[in-house]
Amino acid sequence: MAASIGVAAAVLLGLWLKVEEVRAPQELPRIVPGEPVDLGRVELTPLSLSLVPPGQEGEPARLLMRARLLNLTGESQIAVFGFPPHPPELAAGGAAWPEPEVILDRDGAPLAQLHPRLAERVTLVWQVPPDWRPGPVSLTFHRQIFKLKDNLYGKSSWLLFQPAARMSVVPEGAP
Amino acid sequence: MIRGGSIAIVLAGAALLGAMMQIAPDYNSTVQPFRSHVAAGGTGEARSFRARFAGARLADRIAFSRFGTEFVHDTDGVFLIAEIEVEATIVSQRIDASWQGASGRRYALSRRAQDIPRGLDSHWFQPGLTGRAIAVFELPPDEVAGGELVVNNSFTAVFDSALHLAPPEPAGGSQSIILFEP
Repeated sequence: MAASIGVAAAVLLGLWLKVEEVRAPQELPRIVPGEPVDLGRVELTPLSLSLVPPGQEGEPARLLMRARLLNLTGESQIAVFGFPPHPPELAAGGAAWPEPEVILDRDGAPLAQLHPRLAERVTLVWQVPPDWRPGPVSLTFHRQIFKLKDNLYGKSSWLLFQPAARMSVVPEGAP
Repeated sequence: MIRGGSIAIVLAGAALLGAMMQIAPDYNSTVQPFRSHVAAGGTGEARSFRARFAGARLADRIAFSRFGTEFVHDTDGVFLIAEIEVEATIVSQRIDASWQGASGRRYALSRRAQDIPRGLDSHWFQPGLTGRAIAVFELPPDEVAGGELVVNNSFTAVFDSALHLAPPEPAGGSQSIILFEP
């Protein structure tokens, strides 16, 4: 009887420790520009955030984040920010903005693929909502969890996303 | 005494299960294509096609024209341009290729070279006709030597053939630019 209770307690404790290990942290680590963050498939290093006024009348202003991306996996990635895509989430005044466009700087074209060991400079482009007043913005970075052996087939899988870091910054060029 | 015997049986069962879990091949190593390794210059025979790695060149930049627009792409690594001869043996089909670098990392066809003339990604191979196509990879220079070209059916390679073709010697060093002409 005592042995059974002991075994059950050990199993429950082991399970609880495992859950604690993978639980998302309550308080996200704060990062600053220049500090890399691991997003699962890629390492992203935000370099700068700047506000660019509209090129022509009627166009929205744009918020540009220049960043460095490095593929951390062993194969070329087309889903750089995971699947479904979880690019950095920008929020201002508590409201999240639509997803940014990701531009490969060397081509000036959308980033289609990232190869292992070849870091690339990219620009993430958000269209500024018309009612936004320039001020500090918050960026939340999400990491996709990789499991070498999943619970269904024991195959390697990319699973859930969880917040990995947050960055609060005032865009350059904001009045 | 009886209790001791039961505990021993349970422990032996647990040990047996643990041993089976350790030695059973996992999903990733079981669900794989059937690989054939082909020496440099040789022709590999897959289930539905045969292929030969005909030539390799290296370039710092590539240039091509697409829909009337000129493109020039550069890279922090190097472009590896592989020429492949393929003949389908059963039905008309397309072929996919990747480069397995010296470190074991897999480099897919460069999407920055999509739609180049005679590009592998848009080429159909016909039974009885040997076609020649170009595969472009973008990779660090130290992944070239010791790497191999992996060629397989373009839809799914799982439980199908995959040819691992050893590369011929690249012709000369890295060229500053290679222009793809129709």
